[in-house]
Amino acid sequence: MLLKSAIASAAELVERRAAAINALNVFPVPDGDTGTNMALTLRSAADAALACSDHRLAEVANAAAHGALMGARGNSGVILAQILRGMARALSVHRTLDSDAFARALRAGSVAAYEAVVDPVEGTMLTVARMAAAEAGHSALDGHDLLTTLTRCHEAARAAVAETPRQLPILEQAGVVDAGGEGFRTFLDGILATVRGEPVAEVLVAAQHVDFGALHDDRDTHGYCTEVLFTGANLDANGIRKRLNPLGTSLLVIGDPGIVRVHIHTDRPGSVLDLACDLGQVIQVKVENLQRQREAFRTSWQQSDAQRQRPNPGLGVVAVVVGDGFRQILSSLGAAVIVCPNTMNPSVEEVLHAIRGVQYANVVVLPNDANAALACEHAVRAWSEGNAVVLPTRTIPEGIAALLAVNPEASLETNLAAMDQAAHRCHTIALTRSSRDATIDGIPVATGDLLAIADSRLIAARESYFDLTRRSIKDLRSDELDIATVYVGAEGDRDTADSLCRILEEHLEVTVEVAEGGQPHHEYIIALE
Amino acid sequence: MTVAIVADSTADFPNADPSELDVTLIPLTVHWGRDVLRDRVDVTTGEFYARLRTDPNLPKTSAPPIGIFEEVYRERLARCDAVISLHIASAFSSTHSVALAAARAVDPRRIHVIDSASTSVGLGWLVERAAELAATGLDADGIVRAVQESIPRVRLFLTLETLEYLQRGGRIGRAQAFVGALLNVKPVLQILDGTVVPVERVRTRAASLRRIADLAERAGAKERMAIVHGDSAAEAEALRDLVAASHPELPIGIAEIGAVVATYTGPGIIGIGCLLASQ
Repeated sequence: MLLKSAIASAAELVERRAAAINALNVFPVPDGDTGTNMALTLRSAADAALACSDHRLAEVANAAAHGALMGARGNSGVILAQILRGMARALSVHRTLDSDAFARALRAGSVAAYEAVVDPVEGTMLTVARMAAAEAGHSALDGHDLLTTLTRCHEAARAAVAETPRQLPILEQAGVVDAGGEGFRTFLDGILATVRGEPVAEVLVAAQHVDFGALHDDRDTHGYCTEVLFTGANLDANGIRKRLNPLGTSLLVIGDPGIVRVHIHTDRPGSVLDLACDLGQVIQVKVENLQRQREAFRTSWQQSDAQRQRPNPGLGVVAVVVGDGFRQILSSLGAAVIVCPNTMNPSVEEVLHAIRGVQYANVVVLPNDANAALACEHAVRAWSEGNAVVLPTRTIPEGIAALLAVNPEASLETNLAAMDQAAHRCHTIALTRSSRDATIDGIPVATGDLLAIADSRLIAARESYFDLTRRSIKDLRSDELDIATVYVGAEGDRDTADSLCRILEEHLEVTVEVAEGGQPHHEYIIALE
Repeated sequence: MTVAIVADSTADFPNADPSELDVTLIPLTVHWGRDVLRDRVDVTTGEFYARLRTDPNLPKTSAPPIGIFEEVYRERLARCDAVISLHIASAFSSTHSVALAAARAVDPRRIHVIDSASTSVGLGWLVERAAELAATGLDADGIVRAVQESIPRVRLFLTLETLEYLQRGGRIGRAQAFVGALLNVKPVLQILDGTVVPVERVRTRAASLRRIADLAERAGAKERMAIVHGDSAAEAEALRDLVAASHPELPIGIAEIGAVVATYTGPGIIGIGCLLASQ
């Protein structure tokens, strides 16, 4: 139905444009992933919408919003999820997606987006959503149909995106438009395409990957989780449902006359397969022993507990990291680590999963990156079984400093204060290479130039890492610093790290240490505390 | 009423000379390879640390034999009306249990055994107090009450070079939470409720010393203060200077811990003991 198709198209389109949107990152370091984050968030929304067996507008919208929330990654992903949530709420009183319904939904989504952000900034996705919603509102009021409203709304979004450099100087300097804004425009473009009758991708509803996890009931303790995907002619989902119902529980039959996907918990997986073979051609089969599935799940929980090595009475810490070295370090210090494969962008679900795994009533979440903060915030808000709080650390070294300050015997309040203080005392310098040409804070940067980013600000460019380091530490007061740690990234080497240590020792009179971070993108991360 | 004071060799006396106190100190034992060494009698702390650097075997400790306790109690009771026996925290050593058993065997009504919930200077201050009161002629019950009132006022903040010795010796208590760090970190700990309790971790030795000074300062009004250490005399002096600046009226003594406690902590232990003022 229309909404399912529209969301699927939007997801597909954003996925295709993800790399281009990623490239709009202001800092010319490929650790920004607005495009990927929004694509993953939308994919999660689309999967949930498609898996929704209900076809009513309100239910599908809700499913999409919930899916988006669970899969939301990065700040942009979380804001987009909030937009979808606002839209779903507005759509709950509508039965069809018409011009009016859409305009109201977009307006509600825009409001929700602003509410999601503590310090809303103009020249971002928020502005684009707002302008698009305003235009949609006018169009609907003027009595135009859905296609016209969507077309105009998309045009307004395009214009708003073009304006963003004038609203945010940093965009103008970098020579780019706002990535989140462009991502949102792409989202609208996908919906428009569907309504125009040109869905972006052939949406084979049943052939999409569907997450049946939500169906799993703890009461199903025996039998087999069986999924069969098969094609045929004039397949009747209802009829198939009636025939399979007596065979088991958690039955789901989705699809269209040409292709059907069945999911069921049954003692007789063979019977399900037989039926599929009778009706058509089987494309995919999956049969899993439910008992073992449950045990494996339980074991993986227990293993992740055991891996954290020792109990931390009273307070648990969840930390986001990237790089195997950092994973080991933070894990050894007692944190439950969320390891991101490439960029610091865990999904809300992943953060929730980590919080769930911590056995203590009090949990502090360390995002260790500005881009992971919102997802952590939302996970914490969704966590109802204890006290979870985010301490918004901006870098992994800040997270390490906070983790060291944890007193297992003290209260949450005392610990938060100590952790905050420790994180603030820590200075981070990240050394990396530029991935494109740009101008940042008046500093021109060419592709391949070496950059230093100190406490999230670009400090200098082009020189050697040694000169960059000297420049970055120039204004630091050596009497306030004890130790410098050089964390070597995946692309760094020990010799250079040692030379960096000599410079730090010489200029700051600190103890120096080298450790393996294993992080991508930033060849060296220097922690000064 | 005359009361004899008995204690064990883990007690430290940074501000007093134990030989001038009328106190019998029973030595615990260090077992090293085939040697059986009485703490402070057969082995000095300096000798202990020297050997620790070269001997591949690790030292172990044990409580004094029950026979020694019984002998001392009988001898003291021949000349005094009662005995008060103060000892290292039961979480760290079975000395207290052995003392209890000996007391029961000799004369349970006249021998009072007290678990100090501490050691080193924490135990030392309680012993000094008991000795002072005994010298004034206070009866046994009165001394026991005074000591028990003081126990909760004792604080010992310390840092170590490594948690290895505490862990291997099984005395790490709740500081187990700090074990296993892959980064170089120094533990900041305290002795509370008779066991080792974690406070926080810091990256450098210098930071750990500043931190225990800070903890001592924030502990509140104090009657007494002292610094104890293991093989770290220079740092102990520097720490005293740091701490003395904010406690000008308190004499702050320095003592090196005995070999038995050194076995638990390893070299490099530095601690600040505080006896808080009564409320």
